[in-house]
Amino acid sequence: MELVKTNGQGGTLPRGYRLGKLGVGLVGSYLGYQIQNIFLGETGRPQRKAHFHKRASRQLREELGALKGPAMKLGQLLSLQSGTLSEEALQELANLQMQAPGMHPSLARVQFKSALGKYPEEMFREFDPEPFASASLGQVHRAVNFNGEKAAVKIQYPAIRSSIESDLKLLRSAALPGRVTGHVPSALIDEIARGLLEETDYVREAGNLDYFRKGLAGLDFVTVPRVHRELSNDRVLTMSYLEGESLSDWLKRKPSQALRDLMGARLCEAYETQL
Amino acid sequence: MKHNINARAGDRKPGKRRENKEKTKQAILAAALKLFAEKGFYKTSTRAISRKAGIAEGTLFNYFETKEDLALYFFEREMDEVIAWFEGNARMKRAGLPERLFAIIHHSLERLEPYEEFIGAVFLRALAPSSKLSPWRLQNQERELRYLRFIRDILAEAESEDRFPPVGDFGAYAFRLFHSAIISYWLQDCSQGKEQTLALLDRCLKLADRILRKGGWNW
Repeated sequence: MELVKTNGQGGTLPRGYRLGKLGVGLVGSYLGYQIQNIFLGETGRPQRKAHFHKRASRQLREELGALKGPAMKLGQLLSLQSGTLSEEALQELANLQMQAPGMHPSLARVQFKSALGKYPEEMFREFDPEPFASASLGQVHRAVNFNGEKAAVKIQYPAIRSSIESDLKLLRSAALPGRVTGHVPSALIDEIARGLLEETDYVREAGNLDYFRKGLAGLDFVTVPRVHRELSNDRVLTMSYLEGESLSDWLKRKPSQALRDLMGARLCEAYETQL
Repeated sequence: MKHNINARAGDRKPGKRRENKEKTKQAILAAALKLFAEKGFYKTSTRAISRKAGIAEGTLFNYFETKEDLALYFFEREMDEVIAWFEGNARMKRAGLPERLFAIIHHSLERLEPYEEFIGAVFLRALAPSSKLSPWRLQNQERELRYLRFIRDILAEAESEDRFPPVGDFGAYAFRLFHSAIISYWLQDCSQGKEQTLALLDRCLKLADRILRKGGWNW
C-alpha cells in the first residue's frame, strides 16, 4: 500500500484501478455497516454510523491524496461542499494538499535545463541544489543572480501537465454515470480541468504576481516578489527572494497585543484592497 | 583535418604507435559523427567519412571494417566517458542510489543527444542476430561486462549502506536492460525538453528503490 501511495503517479490504468478499488472499498464497508445494522439495537446505530463515516472518510482522503492531481482536486472541491458530506468527511478532505514528488538535486538541475535550455549554474552566480521549500507542483531553490540579487527559483516536476491531462481523461470516464444522472455536472469537471492546468502554467502565475504587485502598490507595508522574466517560463519561475516568517510562527513568539492589533488591522486593509 | 597515420621513423616505441593509432581512430570517429548528425547513419558513406577525416578510404578500412565497427567504437568510448565522469564527480559521492543511477543514465542520454538518428539506427540494427552490434555477440561481451561490473559495484555500495537487499549480479543485468529501455523511450519522446523521459526515469528508479528497500511483496 505504502509503495503505491508515494509513487502513485503511474499511467491511466493503475490510477483507474485505484479509483475503482476506492469505490469497491467504500461500497463494501457500507454494505458491512448495513448488515451490522440489522443486528444492532437502536442505541448502537448512531455510534456505528459515525465510526463508518470516519473510516470511509479517511480511506477516501488517503486514496485521493495518493492519486494527486484531478482526483485530489475533486476531493478539495467536495470539502467545500458543506451540507452534502458528513462532518467527518469534510475534516479529512480538508487535509488534502497538492504535492508533487520531490526532486533530488540532479533531477532539479536537469529539469531546469529542460525548461530553460541552460543549467542553473550557467544562469545564476549561486544556486542551492537543495530545495528550501516545496511547492504544490515542484520545489523552490535559493539562488543569487549575476547582479547579486537573491532569488527564489520555483521548478516544476517534469511532465506534470501531461500527467494531469491523462488524469482528467480518466476522471471524465469515471464520472460518466454521475454525468448521465446529473449528479456530477460536466461544468464541474471542466472547472477542475481549467484550475489545474492553470496551476501548471508559471507564466500565468508570473502575470498574477505582477497584477497583485500593481494592485497592492498603494500599501507600503505589503511587498510582492518581483518576477525575473528572463529566468522564468511556464515551468520555472524566478522571483526576488523575500525574508520572512509565517503568521503562525510569528504568533508562536507571543508578540504584544499592540503588535497583534496592528497586524490584524493591516491584514484587513490588505484583504479589503484586494476585494 | 589531416592526420599522419604512419608512425614516423623516429618513434619505434610500441606505446607511441598505439597512441597514434588511437588518435587516428578518434579523428575518424569525430568525422563520422559529424556526418551522421548532418546526414544520418544510413546516408553517410565510408568514402565521405574518409574524405572528411582526411585519409584514404582504404586506410579507413584498416581501422574500421564497417560502419557498425565505428558504432561499436563509439559506444565503447561513450561508456568509458560516463564511467570516468561518474568517478570524478564529487556530488555523486554524496548522492543516494536513485540519484546516482539517474545521473548515469541522464549523463549518457545528454551525450547522445546530438546523434539521436544514429542511435536509433544502431538500435534497430542491433536487433538482427547477425549484426556486429548485437549485444549477444561474444566480442561485445567484454564491453558489456565492464559496464555490468561498474553498475554492480554501485549497487554493492548501496547494499553495504542501508536496508538495501543484496541484489548481486542480477541487479546489474536488470539495470542494463532498464538503461536500454529508457534509451528507446527517449528516442520516441517528443515532449518539450524530453521531460517525459525525465519523469519516467525518476519515477521508475524511485519505485524500484522503494520496492527493494521495503520488500516488494509487502504491498
